Amino acid sequence: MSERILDELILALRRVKTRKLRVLLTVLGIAIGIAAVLGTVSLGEGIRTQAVETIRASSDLTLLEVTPREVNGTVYLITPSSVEYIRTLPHVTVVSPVLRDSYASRYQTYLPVIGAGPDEISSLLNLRLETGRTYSAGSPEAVLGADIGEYLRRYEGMQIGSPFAVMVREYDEQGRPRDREITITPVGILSSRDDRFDAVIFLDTSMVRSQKPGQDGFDAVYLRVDDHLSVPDVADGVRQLGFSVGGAFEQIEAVNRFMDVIILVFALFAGVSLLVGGLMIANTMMISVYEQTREIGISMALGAAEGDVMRLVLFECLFLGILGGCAGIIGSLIFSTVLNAVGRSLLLSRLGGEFSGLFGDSISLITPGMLAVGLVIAVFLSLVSGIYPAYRAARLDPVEAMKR
Amino acid sequence: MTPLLEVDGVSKIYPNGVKALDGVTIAMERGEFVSILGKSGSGKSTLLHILGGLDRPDSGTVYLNGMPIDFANRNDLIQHRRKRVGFIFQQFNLIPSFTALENVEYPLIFHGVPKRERRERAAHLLDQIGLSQRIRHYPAELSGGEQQRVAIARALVAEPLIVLADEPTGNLDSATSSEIVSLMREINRDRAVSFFVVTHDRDLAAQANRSCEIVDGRLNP
Repeated sequence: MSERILDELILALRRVKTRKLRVLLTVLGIAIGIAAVLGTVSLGEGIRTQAVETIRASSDLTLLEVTPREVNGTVYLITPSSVEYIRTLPHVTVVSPVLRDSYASRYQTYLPVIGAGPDEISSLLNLRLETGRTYSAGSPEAVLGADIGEYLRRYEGMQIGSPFAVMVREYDEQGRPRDREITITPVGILSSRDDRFDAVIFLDTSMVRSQKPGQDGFDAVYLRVDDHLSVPDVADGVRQLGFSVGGAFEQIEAVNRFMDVIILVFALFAGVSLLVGGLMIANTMMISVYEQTREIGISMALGAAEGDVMRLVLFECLFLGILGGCAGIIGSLIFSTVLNAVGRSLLLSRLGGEFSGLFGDSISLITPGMLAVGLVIAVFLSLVSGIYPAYRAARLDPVEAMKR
Repeated sequence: MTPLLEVDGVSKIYPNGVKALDGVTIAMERGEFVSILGKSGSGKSTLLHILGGLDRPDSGTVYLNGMPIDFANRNDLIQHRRKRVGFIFQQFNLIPSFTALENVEYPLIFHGVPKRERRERAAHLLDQIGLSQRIRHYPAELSGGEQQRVAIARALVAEPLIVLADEPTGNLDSATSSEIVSLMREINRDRAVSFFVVTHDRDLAAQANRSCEIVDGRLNP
């Protein structure tokens, strides 16, 4: 049996060899399709990689923020036992449960507040003081973000080390706002870090909790993951506890989702040329079967089964597919090389130098896996295109076929 | 002992209503050389195609070695064509892109015979038929008589029970025709291969053990 299939492969190969020009044209058809698809996908993958690298370089990927999930309008806060559980997740190094609140200054400046243990939060957020010292646990001391600290000092007369009055907004039974004044002591101002913590006032957990009577849980938990590659796993682990999780990694996920769609759409357009390649194979094979009608009839009279005839046609397609796939791979490698050599400098000259970081050293990325997929697609497409011609060949009436 | 071939009341009507075969009944023994003489359109080719499993009768039965051919079973027909019969055609029907040797070994591919053995068997047959000098030639490089000799070798290569020949001399001049007829007779005699030949060539029919005539699908003994 395998002997016979090997012989049929050889026969099909001979047939391919005797029709070089037609094979060349058909193979070019598939090759262009494969090269177009691989080219667009490699361009998309290149842009994706650059975008992800850019985000990775400019943001704190291993910091995650766990927040409660809202179920039917009710927010279930994060309980201390959940915090302990999060602490035990693999790859989690530092965990800091926080309380969030917002106060106002006497001049009605909005003051977002984070209540956290001083040591945990400084090591987790890598807080650096510009002036003063950090706050101590159990005290009404505060450390201010760079922007808010500068603002309050300049415009509202705040002084480091002196008590500063802030208003806690509450609501009475009728829903009317009612401000209650408390006093905090600013003891330090942080260096600027160009993120949202620049506008935040850090207080001790106990201080913030004392202003929120009747609340046991935490509003959020910040955590640090040891390696950015483990971030998605940790995020999934936290999500399974029923919490939401956020962080810069979401930007990467968003870029990936966006690029998935873009690449898919581009590849679909390029896939049209693949479809044309498939139709060319079908056409070539229909002609091939038509030309061989007599030989097929003779073969059947000599004992070829329908399966033998189908295999002869499909094996011819197989060779067309392999040749087309290989040529397409070579084409896409050339496309990618040209794009990286010429396209990059062209794009940069159009966009200006500030985008040079965006395109590292290559804008088109081809992986061995993509090439393998390209070859598989070419072979699969060729075989599918050959099914109908093969079926037609197998169903020929040998007597009629031999009269040709 | 059962006859080699038994045709029992085989009829075939074409869709246009023409009766190609009308209750044909004939039997032949092992080693016989039977010829059916008929004009074109007499139904003789149709009879041969039915015997070879290339066409189906509308009624009647064909027994080979006492076993009926199951015309409803594609697989049975393929096995029949592959193992039990060998064909010789008026048009030679060699594959133009194959050499003489490759044409002779071709049927053995469908038997799954390994290449080396195929080559040996085909070369041996071509040698016996006197074409050992021509085995690398393509059909277009061979004379009509040589092509038909290659076709005869091809019909014998799978060692069939019976060789079915359809106008084997129809495309040959009279000198070559008689050569081919003598070759077939020789094979029939020396190798005890049974031949069933349909022809309109009276000289060929005269060489047969037994000859019948077919007129309008009816066989006259």
